[in-house]
Amino acid sequence: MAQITTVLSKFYNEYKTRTPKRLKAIDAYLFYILLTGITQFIYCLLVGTFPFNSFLSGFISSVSCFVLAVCLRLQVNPENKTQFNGISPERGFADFIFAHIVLHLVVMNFIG
Amino acid sequence: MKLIILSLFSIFATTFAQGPTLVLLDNQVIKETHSIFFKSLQDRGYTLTFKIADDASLVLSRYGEYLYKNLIIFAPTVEEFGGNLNVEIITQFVDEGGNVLVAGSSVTGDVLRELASECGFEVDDEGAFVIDHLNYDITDEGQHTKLVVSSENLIDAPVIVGPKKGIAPMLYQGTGILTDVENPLVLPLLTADSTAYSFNPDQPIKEYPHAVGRDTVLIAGLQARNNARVVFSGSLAFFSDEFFTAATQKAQGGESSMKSGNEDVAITISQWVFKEHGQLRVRSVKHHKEGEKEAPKDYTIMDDVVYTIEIDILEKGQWKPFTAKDIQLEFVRIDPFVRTTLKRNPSGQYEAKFKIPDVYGVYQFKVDYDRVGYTRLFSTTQVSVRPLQHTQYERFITSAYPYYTGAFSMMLGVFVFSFVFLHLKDDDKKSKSE
Amino acid sequence: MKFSTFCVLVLCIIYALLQTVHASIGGYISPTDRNKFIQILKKSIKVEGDDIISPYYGIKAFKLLNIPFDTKDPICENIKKNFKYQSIESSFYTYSAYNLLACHGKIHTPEAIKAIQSVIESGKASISDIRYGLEILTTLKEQIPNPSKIAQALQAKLKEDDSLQNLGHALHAASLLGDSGKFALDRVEDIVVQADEVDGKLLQWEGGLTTTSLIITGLLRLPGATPLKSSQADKFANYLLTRKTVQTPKGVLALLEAAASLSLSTVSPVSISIIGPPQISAEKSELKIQVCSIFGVPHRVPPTPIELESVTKLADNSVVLSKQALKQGGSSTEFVLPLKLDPGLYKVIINAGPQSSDFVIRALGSLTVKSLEIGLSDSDGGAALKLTKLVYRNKLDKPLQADASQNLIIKFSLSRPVHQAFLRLHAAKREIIFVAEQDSSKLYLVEVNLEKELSENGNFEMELILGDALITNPVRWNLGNIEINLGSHLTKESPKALRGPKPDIEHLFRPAEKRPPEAVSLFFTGITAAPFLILLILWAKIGVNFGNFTALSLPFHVGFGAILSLFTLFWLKLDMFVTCAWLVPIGGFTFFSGHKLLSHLARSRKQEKADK
Repeated sequence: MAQITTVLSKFYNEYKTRTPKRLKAIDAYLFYILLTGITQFIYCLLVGTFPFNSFLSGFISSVSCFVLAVCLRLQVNPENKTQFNGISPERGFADFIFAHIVLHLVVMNFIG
Repeated sequence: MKLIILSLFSIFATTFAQGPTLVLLDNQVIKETHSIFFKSLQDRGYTLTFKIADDASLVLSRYGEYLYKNLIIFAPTVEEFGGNLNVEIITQFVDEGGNVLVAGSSVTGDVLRELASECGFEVDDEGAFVIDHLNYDITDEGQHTKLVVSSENLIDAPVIVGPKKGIAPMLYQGTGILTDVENPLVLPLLTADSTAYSFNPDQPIKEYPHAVGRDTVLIAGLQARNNARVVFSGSLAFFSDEFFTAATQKAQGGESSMKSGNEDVAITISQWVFKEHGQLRVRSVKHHKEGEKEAPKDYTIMDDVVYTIEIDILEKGQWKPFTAKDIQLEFVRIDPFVRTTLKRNPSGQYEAKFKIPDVYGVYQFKVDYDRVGYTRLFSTTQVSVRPLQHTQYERFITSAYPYYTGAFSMMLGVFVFSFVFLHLKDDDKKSKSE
Repeated sequence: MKFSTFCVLVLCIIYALLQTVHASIGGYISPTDRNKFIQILKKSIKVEGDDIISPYYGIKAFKLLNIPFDTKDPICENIKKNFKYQSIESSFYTYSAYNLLACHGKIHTPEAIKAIQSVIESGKASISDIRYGLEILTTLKEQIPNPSKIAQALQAKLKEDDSLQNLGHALHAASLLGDSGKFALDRVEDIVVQADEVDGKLLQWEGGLTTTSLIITGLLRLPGATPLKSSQADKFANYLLTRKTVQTPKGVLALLEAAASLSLSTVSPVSISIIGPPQISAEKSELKIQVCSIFGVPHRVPPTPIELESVTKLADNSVVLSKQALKQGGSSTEFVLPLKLDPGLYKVIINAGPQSSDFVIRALGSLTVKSLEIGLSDSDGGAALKLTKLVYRNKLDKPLQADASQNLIIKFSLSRPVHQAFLRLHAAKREIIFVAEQDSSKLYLVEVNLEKELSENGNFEMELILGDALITNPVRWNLGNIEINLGSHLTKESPKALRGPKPDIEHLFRPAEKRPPEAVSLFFTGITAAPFLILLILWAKIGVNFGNFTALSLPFHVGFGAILSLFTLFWLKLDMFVTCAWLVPIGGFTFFSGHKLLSHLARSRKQEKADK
């Protein structure tokens, strides 16, 4: 038990000091998306799937945004530079925006 | 020009007159002994052609067209019809819409018995009378075969026999008929009392009589599926002038009257069998969505639909609006989904309003009005019912607000994020230096 | 030689005997008939209106029936007022009516008479015109011009067309021409032969009542003719009697004229009939016989003697009575025969002079039920019967309780055999009837196997119906009730109702999906919106800044924001096509401005790196 707490506090400190601001901003953004998705899911569990298309639309909107943001974080993280040789972070951001546009069009169509 | 129109109109009018009728008799005397009945028909516009039943020149149709609309057979003892008339031809006549009125008697010949059985009536054997030892008239000759029949024994259908109340007791002398209770097309127009039976009065009863009690039918009627009508009376005397003008008095005591009810009932039955009464037709059918005027190409489920139908009845040769309280409309796919009673609105039309079911498919508006004495009215209109278009579903549902909020929140989130992300200035700390 | 003459003699005697026994007719014009005729005739006698032909029918008929006119003046006035020459026939009717009523004055003029005389003499008039002309001249006692010429004209016209109508009128005309009319006697046989016989009982001529009457009256009017045999006269009379229900004044007059002329002729049919129903009973033990002419009045030469020839019992052909004289009854045409007979059918032969007639009469008796027993027994015949005796008119005090294994038994004996001995079980609208059989000891028995005959349970009333043509008191005897319990294996469905409306059907719609209450939804809406605030707070904590802000980014943000607003609008009211159409320009703009921005950012980043 004590080992878990030491691991966690070490992880937390490392995170605070070593993570660049940019990534922290994305992390906060990710956390926000996670909360939104969880509330939608709990609501559906509670009251039933009545407008199923709306539920799917809203939930998948959250899930997809989370996935896209994770991809952006990966691409923008300087430590992963070697993985994305030839693709600049700006390009990552451009892809991110493009994917969001497509996603939100579909979500708006499906949400009813 | 006016003359041409007038002559055309008069031709038109004559084709709408009551119709040519062939009357077959045993002998010429019947024409005079039943003169009141025949005169009543002629007064109403029927052209009667009198012929003896075995006349060799009898013919019902020529070149494929029928010369007569109605047939009266007042020839109980006929052995074989003359000319090219026989039971088969007469049955075919009925199948093609002709109406037949037949009267038998205690000496009904086999030909008429065969004709009756084609129509679903069984006539008793030769020599049999309907006997009732408790309800015979005082002018009976002793065998108790001249019966006084109360108007209570008439069928409950004013369109065929008139209103039961107010009809005097009737005189009847003839043979008994049996009808199949299961046959929905056969109607016992006049039945005998519980104490009556049909048998040969000179023979002792050694076997079960042909007809006993209230099952003994005195006058039977049939409305075929093509609405042709046949009436078979076991008594020719029922239609005679003598019975029409006689007073009735039960010998064993009971009701008596100055004039029998025979004339009233015979005339009303003749009006029914020759289709003067009880003829219905559909004048128009309309259906549309509530609020609109014209019928749409197709309906959508859960639409509010209004169905209107106009029904006419033939009265004295004119088509007048029909009044009834029990006409029903069915909305049928294979089984009826909806069945409502049509309401009559003040303009004379029948209307029904209902919500189309939430199951899509091809439906029919069916009005099937089949009541005793009336021609069968059957009207069906086919419509298609389609499911909701994808744009017709409900939107902006309150219980979906959290999902809408979620989606819009994501959109707002990404917008704000792009702001933040693009303009964020990182701290320039070298991680490795730590 | 002797033998053959003997045979001939016997045959002659037999023939003569046969001739003495004539048949007769069985009806006559009774007072009820006279009343009905009077009602019809009254309608024709009008005191106003311009129909002056119909009153003739009524007036002539009333004269035949011997009914006086109390007020004849209005009728006379009306005829006189409306008289107008239409034809010889119509003039005949009018003049005769005026004459019969003995109205004051005359309505005919000498010129009219001269005109009639010249017409009938001319040889161009039709036979009926000639006849009516002659009638007018005879009635008004005017001279008939040149009878032989008229007779020849008649014969010539008959050669052209000898229809029955013409023959009839010719007979009447000939009877008014005196000696010149003798030519008609040759025609008589020919006319009589043309009559049609119906059923062997009636004779009539084609054309119905008016033609038959015209010819009969014509034949019987001819002086010196005996046109009809009495058997033919009887058959004509029978025909006339079937026409008693005629409804028009003209028809009534035709009937009465024919009946009157038959009644006054030498072959007047003798009507022998029974007054009232042809039956006798203990209360009414006599037969009343009416002997009269067809007109309902006594004969000119009443036939005598009126006596009973014989009474024969039909069942065994035994003669029970013979040769008895009848007493005079209430009127000159009524005769009474007292009879006391056992119940049964009898043939009674009555003689009135040379005429005779036979009747089948019924002797009625009353019926008594000597004994009756009713009860239940086992259908397999094992157990003993338990029967209850019932006295007539009583019923069982307790209903019988029966089940499927039992039979209902009723045994009874009667004072005489009856035609109808039925047992009727009834309950509400249903009834079932069984026939009782008579065994060798004259005992009646009804045995009903309840399981086979009945198909439903219930409480039935039992009724015994006894009837016969020869009993005066038919019986309907309520015997009591029976409760039948057949067990539960019966399959009887209620009879289908006469066609009527079917039950209404309302479609049950699929229930709408359950939705949560509004409050819950709004609450969760709030919770879903909340993380945005959390995001802003976190970012503040992290310390976001807008250090790299450039004015270049503004077009991109504007474009991106525009796209997202377009999507919001799409959700609110636009459709996909419009949205995509707008997306193209806005998206393009955003792409370019974004591209520019990002390139700028990339360059400045590379610059920074190079600087380090």
